[in-house]
Amino acid sequence: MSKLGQAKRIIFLKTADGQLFEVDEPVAMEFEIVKSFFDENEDAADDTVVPLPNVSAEPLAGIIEFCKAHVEFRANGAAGKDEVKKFNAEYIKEKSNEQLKELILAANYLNIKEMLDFLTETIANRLKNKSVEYVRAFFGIENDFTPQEEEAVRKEYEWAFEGVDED
Amino acid sequence: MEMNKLPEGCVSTIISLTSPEDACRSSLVSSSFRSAVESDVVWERFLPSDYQDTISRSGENNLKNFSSKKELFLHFCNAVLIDGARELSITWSDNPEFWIWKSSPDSRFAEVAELKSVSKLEIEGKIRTQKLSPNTRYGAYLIMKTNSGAYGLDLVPAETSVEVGSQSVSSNKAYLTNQDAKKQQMECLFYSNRRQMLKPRVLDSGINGVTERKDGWMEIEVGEFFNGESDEMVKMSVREIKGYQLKGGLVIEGIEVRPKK
Repeated sequence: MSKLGQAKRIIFLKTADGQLFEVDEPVAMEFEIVKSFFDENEDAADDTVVPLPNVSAEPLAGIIEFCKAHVEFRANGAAGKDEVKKFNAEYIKEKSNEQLKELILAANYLNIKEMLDFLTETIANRLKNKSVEYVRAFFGIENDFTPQEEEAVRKEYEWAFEGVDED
Repeated sequence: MEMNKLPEGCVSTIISLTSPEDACRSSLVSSSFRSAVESDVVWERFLPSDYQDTISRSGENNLKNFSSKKELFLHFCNAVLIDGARELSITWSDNPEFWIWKSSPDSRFAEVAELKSVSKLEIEGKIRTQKLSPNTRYGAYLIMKTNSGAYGLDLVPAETSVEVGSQSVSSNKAYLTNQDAKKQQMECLFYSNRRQMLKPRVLDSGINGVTERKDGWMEIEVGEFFNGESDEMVKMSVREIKGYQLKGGLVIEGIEVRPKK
């Protein structure tokens, strides 16, 4: 390969469900976990495939879409501007709670700060003023309290249980 | 547990972006949520931005006395932020004919203001919302007492109001003293004509009264407001200027602001 070649380096990522993704280097380097993989393996061959055993294809595709857009925003000096907000709002609009959860789990594993900040805020907004049952369903969590423990927590925070939104 | 479990730190961050009420409720989701809610990450965000300054100014407490940010938050909920009477703006309060300043053993402040006799009562307190927890509904209360020579306080209700920025968010009426039945009878005899005359000038419905506090003082609700995230000036005022009723015997400790449950 020519040293002068501006050909973009491609990073190969392999998901838990066996799909191979080809990602532009600047986008893949948004993933802290990928970045440190290459920092630690400086002599890794160009066609090295980075395994991502905790991420499946669907959320990864979503994450790549998000990071790609944000890398471009930064390159264009648009960071923090309205078009970013518009993109984010549009991006999240179609996502179900389940998809959001998959995204945050993946973003957390890949350690992508900007996307994590965005997702935590989005999820927080979806959980505001919701019932305990709603939050459990959102995260797929079982109630593991004994009735006595539950009663104790309920007593402690009695005032917080009034007037929540319909689920 | 399978891989679809968010780490506790991540859950704490999410909870910190909701509200104190949501956080408390989340404690009931599961034991792992409960421990995520206890995190300082959560409560640090709910604390007023200048809480360190406020704690050190209050004199009675030290940051080291609090084992967690949650405990500190609850301290702010219970013990509250106070404007002592000297911080309030009270019309004519520098005129000793109308108001006297004196120390009171059960006051948290060096001085309280005691009303001798005045026809026009105006008390105003201000606080910046950055001193308060964001995303929380607050109530403002005038902390007061009446002395044995109190008079004229229960004839005409005072008007209470709260403004955030320069928008009025709450306005109400309150009597400045408890209406004691016997006294009321007497007053009816003496003042019945005057009462009749005053009625049309002030509305008589939904008027707040005085509530006893555990600390020996009494309070009346000045109003309530929701503190969002921006820093604004909140003005709380109690006025009785319509009735032109001479009154006295009111002792003012200050205005207290605390989260409303």
